[in-house]
Amino acid sequence: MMSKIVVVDDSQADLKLIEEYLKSAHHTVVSFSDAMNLEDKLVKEKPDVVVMDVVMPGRNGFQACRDLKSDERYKNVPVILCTSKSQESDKFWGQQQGANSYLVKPVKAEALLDAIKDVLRQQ
Amino acid sequence: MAQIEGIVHHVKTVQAASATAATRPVRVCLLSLADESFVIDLRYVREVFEVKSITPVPGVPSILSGVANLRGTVMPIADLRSALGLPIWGTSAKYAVVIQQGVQQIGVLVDKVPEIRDVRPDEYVTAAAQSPEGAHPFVTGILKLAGRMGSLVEVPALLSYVGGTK
Repeated sequence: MMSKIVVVDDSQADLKLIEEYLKSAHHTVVSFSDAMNLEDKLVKEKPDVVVMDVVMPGRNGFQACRDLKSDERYKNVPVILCTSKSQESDKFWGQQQGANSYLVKPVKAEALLDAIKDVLRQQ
Repeated sequence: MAQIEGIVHHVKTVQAASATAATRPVRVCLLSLADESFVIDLRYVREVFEVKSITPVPGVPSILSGVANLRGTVMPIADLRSALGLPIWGTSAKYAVVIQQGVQQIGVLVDKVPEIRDVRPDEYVTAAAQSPEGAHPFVTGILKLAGRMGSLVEVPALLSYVGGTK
């Protein structure tokens, strides 16, 4: 099933790679290089899923995920955190922010696409 | 008459909005340190990280244990135990919660990865009744938790305290 995915990552290389993975599965992709004012951007984009890095300048992925999940407009939009932060404590903290899935970089296409299927299935 | 009704309606709307704000849950971060619980407003929490090592720095306020390297950023690390009158022996804390206000940020040592909770304002008890001698300068309230109490740490006051202590 094709979905609209918003990807947020400050690394252009990671952004391109994730875009390629998603487009190969015929998803529609909209990318942003930071999470500042993300809620305003999502008003227009209306994504089915948000795939987001954690370590970003300004507002990080944990903070943005937490805010999306507290926002009536977006609390039901699945958020997949995709990050180099690989400790179990990071995953636990990510879950505490309300993330629907947590992937550790470098992420493979199959893992990302499976995660998207999973979070959409849980909706 | 219509004008009076309009004013009454406005007053009722404002009263209802303020009542809602007063009972609206606040998201907090529940910290554990030396078997005690502390609560900070989640809005100030940036992230949590595992502290591998702390480098002591001479001349910094006594509440600071030193600095840690967080992805290349030098992060001041605060140990609140002595400032809060907690025992300073025992296992050293493994994690730090990064709290931030504006450009100022510090890592606060904690024993485990914090939990997030929603609490209502009426679940707080003000700490104003504490004596000045016994009061902790950045503890502004007590939160009733399940079966225990947690001190509410006011982040701006804590950051001011860290900046002003020796």
